[in-house]
Amino acid sequence: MAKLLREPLEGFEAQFATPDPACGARVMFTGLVREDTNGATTCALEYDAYEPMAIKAMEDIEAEALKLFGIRRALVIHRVGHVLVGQIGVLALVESGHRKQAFAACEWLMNEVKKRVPIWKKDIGPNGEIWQHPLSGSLNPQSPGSP
Amino acid sequence: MTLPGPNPIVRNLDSTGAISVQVPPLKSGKGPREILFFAIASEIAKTRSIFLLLDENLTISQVRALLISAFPPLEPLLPCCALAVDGVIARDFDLLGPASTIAVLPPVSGG
Repeated sequence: MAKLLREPLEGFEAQFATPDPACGARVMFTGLVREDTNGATTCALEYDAYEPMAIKAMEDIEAEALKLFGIRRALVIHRVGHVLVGQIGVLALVESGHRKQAFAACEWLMNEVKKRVPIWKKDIGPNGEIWQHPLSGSLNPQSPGSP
Repeated sequence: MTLPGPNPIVRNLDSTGAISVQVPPLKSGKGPREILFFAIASEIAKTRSIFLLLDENLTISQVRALLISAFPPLEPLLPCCALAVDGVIARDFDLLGPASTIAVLPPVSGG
């Protein structure tokens, strides 16, 4: 079940450790706040979210991943609020019988999260703050601080 | 809040910053709708939410135009924003209906 959390995600991986005997593969993506991208320095990211809609969108994406890839588990956990460089901004977990589906599903999961979930990040650097939107001219695929 | 200059469809309701938007003629009932702003839209609008009186027969496109009337600095951003009505992305030709919440969603940048 998808989550949006204000507290650090560090250590959260441990709760994924419960083994499913039917699964031979577990893939986890850990998105970290990066310090430097294309010369822009990031000190922290500030995540904003339309929380009810974001959780619904993440749950929809999880459910779609189960069907599309035939995997047994999909989970996305995203931070909101202030996240320092080096801290975790997002976690995505997939478990399946075999690694091929798990790798593919985990990548798809993150791509869909970045496309569809109403979450926004503000890049906080030494020279100011900027919301990462297309209008700012610095959105994906190489937005500063993006995991 | 300071409203833009003369504008027949926008007027101040009270000193708390709440504003009312009216579009004559009102063909049916209208009610207060909470408008939510996120991320850069919130910074530009200088508020997280306001309440507007909006007619249920307005299209989303008309709502978008009214928001620009009420918040002119949002004009460059709003065409790029999705509007979610009670948590569901609405199309420009959809009618507002009895919805209670309209969210202004800039292009997303999570992850």
